[in-house]
Amino acid sequence: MFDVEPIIADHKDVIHDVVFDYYGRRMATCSSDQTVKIWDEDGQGKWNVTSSWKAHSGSIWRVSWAHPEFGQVVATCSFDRTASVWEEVIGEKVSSTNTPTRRWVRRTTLVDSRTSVTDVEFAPKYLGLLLATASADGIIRIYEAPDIMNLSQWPVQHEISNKLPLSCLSWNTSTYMVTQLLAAGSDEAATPTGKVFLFAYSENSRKCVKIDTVNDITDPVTDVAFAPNAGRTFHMLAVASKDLYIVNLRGVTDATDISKLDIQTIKFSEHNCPVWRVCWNMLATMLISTGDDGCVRLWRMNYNRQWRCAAVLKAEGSGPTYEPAPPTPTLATTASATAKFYKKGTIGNQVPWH
Amino acid sequence: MSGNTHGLSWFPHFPDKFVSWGQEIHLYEVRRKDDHSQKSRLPYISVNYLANESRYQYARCVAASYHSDQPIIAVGLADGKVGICNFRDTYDSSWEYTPRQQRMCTCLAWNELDANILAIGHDRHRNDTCITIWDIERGVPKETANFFGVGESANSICWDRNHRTVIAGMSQKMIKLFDLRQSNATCQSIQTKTVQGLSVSPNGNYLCSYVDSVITLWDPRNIKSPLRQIQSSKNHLQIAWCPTRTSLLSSLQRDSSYITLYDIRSVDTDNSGEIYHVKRQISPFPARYQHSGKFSFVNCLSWHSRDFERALLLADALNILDFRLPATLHTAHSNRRKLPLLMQRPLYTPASPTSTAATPTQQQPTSSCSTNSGSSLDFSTPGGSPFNVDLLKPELFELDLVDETRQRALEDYGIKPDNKRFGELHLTPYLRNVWSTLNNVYSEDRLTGLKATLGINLGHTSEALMASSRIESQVLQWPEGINNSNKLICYRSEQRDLALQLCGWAFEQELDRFIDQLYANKEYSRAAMICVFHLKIFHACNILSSAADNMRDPSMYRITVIALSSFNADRCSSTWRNQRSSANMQIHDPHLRAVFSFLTMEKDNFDAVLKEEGVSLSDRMAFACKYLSETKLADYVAQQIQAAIDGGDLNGLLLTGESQDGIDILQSYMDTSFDVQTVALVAINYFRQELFEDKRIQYWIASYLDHLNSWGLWEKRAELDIKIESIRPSSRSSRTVFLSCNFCGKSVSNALLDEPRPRSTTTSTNRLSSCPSCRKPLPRCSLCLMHMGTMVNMSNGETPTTTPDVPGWQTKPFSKWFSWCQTCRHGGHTEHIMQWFKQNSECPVSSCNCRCFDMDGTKPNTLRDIS
Repeated sequence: MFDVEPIIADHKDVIHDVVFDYYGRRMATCSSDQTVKIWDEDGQGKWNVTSSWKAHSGSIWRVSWAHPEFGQVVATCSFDRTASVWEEVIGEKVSSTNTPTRRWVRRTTLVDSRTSVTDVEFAPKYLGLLLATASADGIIRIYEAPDIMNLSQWPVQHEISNKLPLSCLSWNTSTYMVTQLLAAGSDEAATPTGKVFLFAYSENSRKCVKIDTVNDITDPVTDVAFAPNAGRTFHMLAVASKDLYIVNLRGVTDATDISKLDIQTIKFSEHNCPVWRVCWNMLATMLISTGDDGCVRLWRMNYNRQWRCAAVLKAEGSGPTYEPAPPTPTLATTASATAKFYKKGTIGNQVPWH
Repeated sequence: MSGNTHGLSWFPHFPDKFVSWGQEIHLYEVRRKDDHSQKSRLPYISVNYLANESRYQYARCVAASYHSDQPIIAVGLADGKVGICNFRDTYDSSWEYTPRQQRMCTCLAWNELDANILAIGHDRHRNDTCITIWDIERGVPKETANFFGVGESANSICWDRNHRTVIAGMSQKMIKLFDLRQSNATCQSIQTKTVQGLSVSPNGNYLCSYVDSVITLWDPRNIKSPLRQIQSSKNHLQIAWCPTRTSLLSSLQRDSSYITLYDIRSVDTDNSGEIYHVKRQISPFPARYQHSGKFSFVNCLSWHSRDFERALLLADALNILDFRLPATLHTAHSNRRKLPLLMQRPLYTPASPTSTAATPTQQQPTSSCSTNSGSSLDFSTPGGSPFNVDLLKPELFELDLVDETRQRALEDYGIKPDNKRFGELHLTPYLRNVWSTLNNVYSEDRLTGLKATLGINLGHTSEALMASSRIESQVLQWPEGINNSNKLICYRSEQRDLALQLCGWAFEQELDRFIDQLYANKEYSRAAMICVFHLKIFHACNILSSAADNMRDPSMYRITVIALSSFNADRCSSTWRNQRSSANMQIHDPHLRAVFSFLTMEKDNFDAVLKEEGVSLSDRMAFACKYLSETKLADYVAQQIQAAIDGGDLNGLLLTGESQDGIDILQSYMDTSFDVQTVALVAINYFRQELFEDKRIQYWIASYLDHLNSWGLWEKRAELDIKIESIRPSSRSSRTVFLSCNFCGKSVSNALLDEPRPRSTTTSTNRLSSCPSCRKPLPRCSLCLMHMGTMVNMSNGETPTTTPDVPGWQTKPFSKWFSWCQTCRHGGHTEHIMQWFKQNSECPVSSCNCRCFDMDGTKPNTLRDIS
């Protein structure tokens, strides 16, 4: 059970990311109008914008909350080749009745990338205050704040180069059999190779290296999300691509005592269009995916431990619905102008998905 | 209508009217949703046919004007004639313009600011101009100032944002800008091949043009060089800006079935900004249109001027479709069942037209939140929600682990485990049974499994001990009246008696009381089964007969009573066995199935009873302890442990107890159910220190504590921490957090704790206010300016301390502790600090403006009183 709550976000351009904070009481949105908005939930569960500021000089792709142990800190990344870290400070109290004004101050700007920074994500808390960025030239950079009281210093700890441009990344929250597990996806469309990469910290070379590639996903990837792992022996990774994928990663040890990952990929084609965003609930029992058809789909695991599409949320204004006079009586169905996406030239017999 | 259609266009100021042209020109009006008066003339869109214009046939280009009083179009023909048409029978000769030299009219563009001004583009003629500015109210243009471009051809034409400059692509090689604000129009030109499809974006920042497969973007204010070129794989047919977006450019490509969208954006930098775009490709055809299976192309597209991202499409040069870009939804999932759906709001609010002649369709979103009947799903959406909820599998929402975990945490799940307590929680019967079993097996502060109790696989010493424990094997006699030739061997030993007790079965002399207790709990079939297992068949018949009187459907019990009463193994054994095998399909009660399996066994083969999964594991284990030999019992225990590990069955803890196998069972249950709460609490309550240090158990507990933190359940989390510490008193580890001196960095906690009782006030003050190693002063309270460690009430002689010790914290209430802000590092006595922040919001230190209390993210509603 959950509360579906439509929110009219007054961003002037396309919204690219929505993120909750650790407690679920604050929400951050970023948009192509170059602003970041912080939403707070009041006592009646209504969301109000409490802060809005121009954060970058280009489209802001992603926003990420740090753990509240480090204060109210968010990170943003943008097309203007920078990623910024912001911290909330309490302003002066203008009168005794009003609450003090809150202001977000830029603590640092990370300018190492020479192309668009496509994703930014804080690491899990057990790694300290760590920040990973992915850029369009295929480089992943991991920054660390050595002093959490001074957020202006973020030296680069690791820099991993890839051949393909990267579009998204996700941290794994579990330390089972591998530490600092990181997944990245590429939205490159030309080459038919695997587009999901896995990185981990290597004790031998004392740096983050690429450990595996999910070769079953060869379409451009728009989002990856690790499921919150509270103690399972396998990791689940949701991949948004031309279809929706769930990848089960299980650590196995072969005869030579080398730890490697057993990858199992499950594919779902219900969206019939590119999937844009995926996110999990806090115990990884529900997956939410949004696609280009304007629908939000909720996936649940049934009693046979198989994922099923349990609900579809669809905006009413996606197209005018009417019943024109059919050319033949056998085609008396309600038509819908909902768009579908076909990138390839050949279109077979498409089954209606509503 | 018949014949092919070449193009179509919405009217800017009439939200429902559009025009299509081909052999003839037709005027249509889109119907409202509730209008089903008559059949639509077009198969895929519901329209009313209004008028047609047959004077101009095979129009080359048509442009809908910006007039508000009536729909007016300009028609350009192949012979160069341009006519103004208002779809009425009156004919006005001043509304028709014929160029001097006959050639094709290539493009038309109405001025949005002055609705009467029309820009006309013609093909090339050596002695004539190609661009004409026509004010239709002044009649046919005659002044030389309205003619441009001698000896050239116009490929495309449009107006600038301020509608005072005409931008034209000319002669396949240049773009020219004609500024009409001066009497002698100045001309500014740029060399380029992309001269087709000139148009300016709605925000006025970009000018777009294309040729073949290249789109070029220009800055209309500084057209020296292109901003960006976009290359595509196919040639373009048409490009158009979406009026309801700031800079969304749509493109139709040749022989293509989808629309390509370029969202143009720029980076604000000091010098010229960099232009980039986000590309999407959308197939606009609904599923019904694809039923024919043929391959469809998009020929023409016309954006609506007011409806957000709405367009008309011409497909296959024949069919017209109404299309809207799919709404972009953004969502995330929080830990509070919130699913906010952020929709992109349209930039232009639909303004009501001032003309009373227009009848726009007020498309109001209807709130439709459909839920399947009988579903217990809580889809509570606020009123007026424009979302459709399509529940494909509503049963998957009936049990949400996140809600269940949070609810159980609020009800003190696992804090005080006892049977009465579990009866009040909303647990599944499975978990309730698991906790009862664990409570039975837990004795002497140990979770001893049956495997350890029975001494299976415990080495030579245990084997020697087991050999000396004198296992008795006894041939039991079947009750009188039952002539069973099979021998029934019962095994007894001290370990087996203890195992039976751990499984919940009573001793032989207490069996009657145990059976009565089961009867009182309405566990009739289980009581009967245990009686039969103890060879008290007539007692079982009496139980089932009494139970049948109390039940609503007693037929199954009565049939069982009749069968048991007349059972005779020797005479009816084969008949009984055949009937039983067929009847087992229909007997629903697993205990009754076990009864018949037991009575019809063959040659010490109890597999049918032992494999009955419906009977609880403890009952099956008790049966095995009673009737299996040592080797068979060891094999059975090993099999059941492996099955519990494979299937994630927590009941297997009855066999393993606290052991590595027990941790494997918990891990398997975690992998299957994702229920970290139960796994963590079982480990906290029942696993001792050596096994408790396993990193898997530590990780489960840390994850569960983190979940409590994210919900803000601080008190529940503190109670759990206290419980973890209290049940393992002997494993107190060294202190990892201590106070250190500012100057020498050594710990001052031990000195403060171990300070002996002071004899006088002066001695106590001097000794406690300084570091024991370097004698420097300790920090002071910001409000009373006393040093750390000094008593708030100097009169009483309690031992001073700033960090709580287990026996000592009760003598020192929380209000007398020392606390400080982690941001500005100022602090003092907790009582003083809380008193200060009740009335102030800033730090009590004079020059510090830190808002220490507001930094707390949880923001409690009211300041709770301190002790």
